Amino acid sequence: MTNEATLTSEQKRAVDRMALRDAVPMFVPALPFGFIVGVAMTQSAMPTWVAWLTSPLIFAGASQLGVITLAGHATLWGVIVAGLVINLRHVMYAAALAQPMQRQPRWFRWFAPFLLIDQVFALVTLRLTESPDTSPVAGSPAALRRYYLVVGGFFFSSWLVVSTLGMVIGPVIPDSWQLEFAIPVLFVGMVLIAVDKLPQAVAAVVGAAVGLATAGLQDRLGILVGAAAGIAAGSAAEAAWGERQLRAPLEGGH
Amino acid sequence: MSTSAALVAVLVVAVSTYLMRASLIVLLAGVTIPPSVERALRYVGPATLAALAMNLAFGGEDGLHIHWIELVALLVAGAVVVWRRQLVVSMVVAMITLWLLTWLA
Repeated sequence: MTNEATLTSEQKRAVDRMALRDAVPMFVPALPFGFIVGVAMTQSAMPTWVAWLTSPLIFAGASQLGVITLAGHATLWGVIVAGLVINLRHVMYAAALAQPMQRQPRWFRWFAPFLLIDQVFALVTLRLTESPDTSPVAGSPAALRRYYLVVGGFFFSSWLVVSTLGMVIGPVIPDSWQLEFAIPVLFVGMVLIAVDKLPQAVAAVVGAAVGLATAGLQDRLGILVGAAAGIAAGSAAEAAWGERQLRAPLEGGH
Repeated sequence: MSTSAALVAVLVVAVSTYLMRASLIVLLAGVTIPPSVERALRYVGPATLAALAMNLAFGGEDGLHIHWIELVALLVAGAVVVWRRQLVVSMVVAMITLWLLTWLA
């Protein structure tokens, strides 16, 4: 256990307010995403209750969608590998938070990774870069812990509510609305929003082109072939041109 | 997909996802990632999501199917994201485009 000052109740309230003020606007873009994940659960080849378990257990929207929609179309291992490859970026998040987490008690170091989704990572790292004099999160391990738990808890509970709502309302939506098309639209949008450097753009374009060319392969193998080609192309582009910026990076983002 | 196979898939992805998130925080604290692996990890997100999007939009049990309506809707969605940088707006515009073109065709 790390020695640290405990927060007064006034400081706790201030951290809670800051966490919710940061988290609520970031959840707005995730609302339709969560809803679509819920709708996809009802259309999955998995039993609906098993598909629903992805929300509390996996708690990562893109990976959940991959697992839920590929079930029945790819082999069991194809579904698992696709779900995992989408989440590989979390290793980067863990690497970035490893140092500030060393000042945290053991129970928190074990529990915090469960809540480590894109938005939690973005908000926590943004607050950690502030001056310890102006931001309590950057200055005190106890404040960081409280901030992390409030933000993570908010996203976790909201995600459960929204995806469950999509699951309940999903069967009522007529098939003619073709709501399943919203899934590739979301993925394309997430890629385009995240890409701000040239090698990332190369990785996305090659991933998309190879993914498209191999979309007819059995068991949805084209996803892995496209992903591997895109990763190799992105790495090669960085080696050749460096991390050339395409535009100013986003603050926060989805 | 059988219930047991589905449960296996969900549990394996859930445990592995937790391990990836926890890896360098609890299990391998102090270990540094080799630069080549770190570089490759930076491109996993855009490459995988782009390939996944193409496969879900145009792939199928019986091969590749490119429908012009879906292609146009996807291109419109991409243009809106680049222009407005709003995921929700792009999704709404893409779905309206899809419905409108399906209705007109």
